[in-house]
Amino acid sequence: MTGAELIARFRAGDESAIRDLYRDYGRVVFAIARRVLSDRSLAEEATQQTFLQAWRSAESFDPARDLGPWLHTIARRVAIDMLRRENRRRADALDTVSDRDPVLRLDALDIEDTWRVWQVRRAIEQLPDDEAQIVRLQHLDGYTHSEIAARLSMPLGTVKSRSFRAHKRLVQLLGHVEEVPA
Amino acid sequence: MNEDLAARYLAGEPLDDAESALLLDDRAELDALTALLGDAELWAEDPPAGLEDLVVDRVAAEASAVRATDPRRAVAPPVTTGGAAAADVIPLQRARRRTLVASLVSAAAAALVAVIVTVSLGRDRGEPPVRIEVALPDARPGGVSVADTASGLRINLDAPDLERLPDGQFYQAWLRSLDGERLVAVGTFHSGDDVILWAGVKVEDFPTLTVTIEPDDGDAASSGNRVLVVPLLPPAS
Repeated sequence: MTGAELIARFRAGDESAIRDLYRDYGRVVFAIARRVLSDRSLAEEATQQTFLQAWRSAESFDPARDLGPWLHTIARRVAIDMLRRENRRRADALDTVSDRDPVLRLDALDIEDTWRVWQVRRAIEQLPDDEAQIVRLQHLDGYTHSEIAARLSMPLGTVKSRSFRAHKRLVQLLGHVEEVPA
Repeated sequence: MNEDLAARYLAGEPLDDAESALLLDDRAELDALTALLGDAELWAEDPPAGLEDLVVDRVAAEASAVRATDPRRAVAPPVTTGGAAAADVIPLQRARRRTLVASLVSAAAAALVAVIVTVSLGRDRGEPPVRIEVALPDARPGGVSVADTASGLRINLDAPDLERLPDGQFYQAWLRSLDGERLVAVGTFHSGDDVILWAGVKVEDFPTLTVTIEPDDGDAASSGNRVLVVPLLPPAS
């Protein structure tokens, strides 16, 4: 199914299209919400609101465009709105409102960051599980190839070849989509 | 960018001087990517399994309700997974909810509620005009206001005594139908301070706002653990 077909069915409220869209983008929407809100529970609510807002806005979406930047923009705005409300609530409670609150500058500061997270997360999701696992063990957990081989009971050469293949795929996926969406 | 060299660099393999020189212009970008790949938030765990159903139910419920009232949103006929017409279904309704019936209606009606229905020409800051303003029952602090917008009902719930719940639980707001048989989920939240909820149904058909405490168990149905019941319209005389 093309993106245009998916968005047309989504716009019509087709439950299977809503589910397809969530399965395609739900994890990355959740990741962006986590990134902005740093709170799992709030991120769950932001994820729901993102898809709801996407449905409300779907009529104005140009199906010729890529869904990713559109959904990223909605996800980011929803999460930032929630963050502002949370911060306002906390500030009101403390009676301390700072003009230099970083939240007030969030739009300018973090749009490249959230877009890059979106892209990298989407790219990782396209890796086979075994390759994604090796990338994670190397970068997040800081293991060497030898340590990964021991941990996964896998020949060192296999780890190296999978690591190379995974990173080459990431380079290919991320090499041509650097523009921050409007 | 030389993809093979970039992949080797990212994979942590040693490059000789000539190879490093070929990547010179791309080093900053590759280093930024390396830093991001080491960021724990990038690898944050997936959303809970039940979130998919919550998303589908909320969007489908709003789509169904809006289609019923706004023909412009009914351009393409919906294809439902269950075979029934979406307009006939309130997806969040579950069998166990049928137990929430007349006893709740009578209990809510008996509650000491100060109901004030007002017609307002609008608020400041361009917000939609408030059609209904209701105090909370039992002299609890806060209130509920309802405004009609092009997107549906905008419900502002302020219930400051609904304090933040511990992890693993959340509040969920519902609109309950006149006959008490149907519930429409209108939002989840963590504390009751100035919560904005949205609904795609008519308040005349779903005149009671309820709030329940829900466990994070992936079950989209109401737990039945109500902590607030607010009639939005005065009892029929």
